Amino acid sequence: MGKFILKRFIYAIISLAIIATVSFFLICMKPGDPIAAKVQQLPESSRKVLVEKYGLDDPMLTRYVEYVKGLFTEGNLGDSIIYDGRTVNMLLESSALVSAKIGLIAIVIQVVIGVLLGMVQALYREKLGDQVIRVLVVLAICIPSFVFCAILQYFVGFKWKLTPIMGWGKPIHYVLPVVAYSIPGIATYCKYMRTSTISVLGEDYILTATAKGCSKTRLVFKHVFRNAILPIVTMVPVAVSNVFAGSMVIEKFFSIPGMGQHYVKAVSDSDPYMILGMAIFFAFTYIVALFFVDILYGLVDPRIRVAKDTR
Amino acid sequence: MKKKVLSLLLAAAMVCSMSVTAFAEETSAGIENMADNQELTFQLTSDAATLDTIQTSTMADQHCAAPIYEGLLRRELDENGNLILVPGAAESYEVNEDETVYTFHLQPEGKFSDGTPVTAEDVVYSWQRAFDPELASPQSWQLEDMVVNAKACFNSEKPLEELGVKALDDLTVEITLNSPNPNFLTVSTFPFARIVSKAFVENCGTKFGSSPEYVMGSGPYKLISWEPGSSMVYEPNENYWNADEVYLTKLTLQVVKEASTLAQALMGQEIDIADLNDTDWNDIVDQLGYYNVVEIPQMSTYFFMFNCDKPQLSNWKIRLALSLGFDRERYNSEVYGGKFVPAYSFAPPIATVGDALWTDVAGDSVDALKTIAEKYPDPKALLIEGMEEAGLGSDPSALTINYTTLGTTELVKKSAEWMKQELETNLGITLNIELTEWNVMYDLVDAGDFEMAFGGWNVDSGTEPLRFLKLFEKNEGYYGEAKLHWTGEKADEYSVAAVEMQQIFDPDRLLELYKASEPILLEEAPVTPVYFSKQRTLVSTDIAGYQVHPFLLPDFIGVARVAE
Repeated sequence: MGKFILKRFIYAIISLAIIATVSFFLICMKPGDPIAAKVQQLPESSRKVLVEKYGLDDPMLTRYVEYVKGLFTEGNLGDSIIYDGRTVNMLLESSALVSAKIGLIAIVIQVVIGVLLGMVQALYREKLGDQVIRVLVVLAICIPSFVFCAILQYFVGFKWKLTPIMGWGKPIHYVLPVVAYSIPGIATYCKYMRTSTISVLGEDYILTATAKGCSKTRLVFKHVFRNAILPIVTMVPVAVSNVFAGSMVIEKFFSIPGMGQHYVKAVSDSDPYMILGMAIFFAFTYIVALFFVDILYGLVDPRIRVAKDTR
Repeated sequence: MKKKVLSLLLAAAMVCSMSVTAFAEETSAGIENMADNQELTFQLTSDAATLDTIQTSTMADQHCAAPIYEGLLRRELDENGNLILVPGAAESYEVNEDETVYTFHLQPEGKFSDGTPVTAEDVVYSWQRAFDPELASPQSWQLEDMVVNAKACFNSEKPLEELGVKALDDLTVEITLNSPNPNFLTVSTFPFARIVSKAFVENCGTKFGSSPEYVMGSGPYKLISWEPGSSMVYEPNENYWNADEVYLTKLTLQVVKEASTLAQALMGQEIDIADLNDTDWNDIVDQLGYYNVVEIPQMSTYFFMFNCDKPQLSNWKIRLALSLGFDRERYNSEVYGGKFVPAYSFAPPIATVGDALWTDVAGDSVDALKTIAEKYPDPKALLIEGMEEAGLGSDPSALTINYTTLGTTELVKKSAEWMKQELETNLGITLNIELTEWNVMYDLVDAGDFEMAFGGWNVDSGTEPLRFLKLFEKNEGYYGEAKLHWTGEKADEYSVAAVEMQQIFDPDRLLELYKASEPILLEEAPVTPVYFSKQRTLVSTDIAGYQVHPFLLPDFIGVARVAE
């Protein structure tokens, strides 16, 4: 197991280095003047100061070396060219945490409700409840999240006045965005759980267990659930890695100071080091998530662990 | 018995209401029956990136800083709606005969929100920061040419002590200008030139302006909390010299970016003051009657530009035909839902000449392009004439023009397609849309590698038409010969006028220059105005004293909620 983890770790580092390098050169080669937005109305002399300050006239390789140096010596993921003093690290400290709080709560809700609903659906397959939930699941997956945001805002916030329409800072502000964030996820987990439960129910060992006189509760939780949950286990770490990026739509709708808007803003501002820093950070979280998926998989499914150990 | 109680209650109520009125009259010059609740929420689409005075650069930064920091003078609207200067941190000022030395006398009662007095030394320190090359203020260039040695200090050629801002005693500051400038006092009210406490800023170091504990000024409000990207809360500065005119007990800035969210918050009366200009929602919110709507065109003009170097655009008749070949009213209503104001001149309706409004004194020149359109009623015939003169034959369908767009959003696509259809139908030419990222478009324009492009210009300060007209002056103009390649006698004539208008302050001569030179620009058409943007502010009907003007940064002095 230790050797397996070490190997995965080295792969992760290599992938990250490749992503960082490729992103850097792609972003720097992108046409368009990165300081156009800022200097349009400034005199030429100020423009020169900025070009010099951010080293925009230096050869790409020099800039790359500078960037990597900053990344390793100061841990600096990148500075904004458009907004003085704003850095990727700063955004990660403030905005990414906000996004993560909403996202993590939503994931817990998604998994719990999604898994339960999916199992119920599978156990009562083709009954009325299953049919109804299936239709709802398709709707929840297909309808874009801004529709949910607008509906929630209108009914819960405006008509019924149960929560504020938007804002951030108090616990009550979590309600609408978390619900809006959870709906598509619940549907996705539900769909996967239903399929995987149905396939587990068809396995021989379930027949054996039933034949041995195993109680229904024991059958469901000991035999069906543990096996059916496997695909979900592999999905969760990746979903968790995505929460730091936030959701632009939901954050914009509810005026939440999360990460989603910053990423989109950096791209539309063509703010090179901001895009780069965030891309590297998101790649990092994704790679870490995949790393955990591999390990988790081994933990929950002994067959895989054995297979890997004997390889 | 019941009756007695009732009458007693009534009497008590009368006494109470009388005393409240008396109190209101005493303390609130002009604002009567103030409501018990004096909390106000206003909306911006973004909060501040920094509250360090000299680093404030975006409108959001400046709006958020305005209630906290006070300049030597303040600006407000008089009863006719004109911007005037009123005392701020300085109770009065004198200027010498040749208008180069200003002496400001500070308020003797002026205090920062921590109770320490505002001294001349603080003012000098605040202005030195603005020109400190190490701090590199993005805004101070606006004063750089005015104040003695400001430029030299900013370029590290002279020490900051030589800046033309001196403390004569504890309450007197003297500012020396290179030459008289009528804009000086106005620019001195801008956030970057406002006053900070020397002791406080030195204590904060680089953290100054980054969070409530590192923010302090001498303005009417102080910052209590700041949830970055979401909200900022202010409370009155009890040490403010004019605290009697500060009525609000709590001021909340709420960030709302999404129009539908804002509309619902307005419908639910969660927000008192907001800018809403969304054609889907305007009517729905307006008809509720909760808000007074104030619409003001901004000093921001959008225009098409043509590269006169390209053979198919080298003849002015072709360019003018393009300029007259589309309907600005329909363009605004069909593409943008009436969000803008169609432009027939570069000067927006709020532009001024001297003290007069441009629209009042300019006569026909307000719609100069309409006059030109009357002269050339058939743009297609004009186009053919131009093509023949340029040796391009007489078949409009042989003429292809590439339109480099400013961005690639859905709205840009929609507007470009509308323009393509309009110009192709009206003129018979082919308009080829090249969807281009906005910053790439600027690069292409800089390099002269475009045929037709779209641009805009916002003016932060000043309302003179020359702020736009000088852009097209051939040598120094931002869109001068280097970019648009507009040359020839007419271009020279225009440039001479454009240079002169930047050097004089006599309103009559300025008006003469505007009226004479703009038609040259419009007829030669290296550029053509398309629309002005407009600000649409909603103010709750129970808010009194709130002034709306594109150049006014509200500091919420004199603003109160009245009982309805």
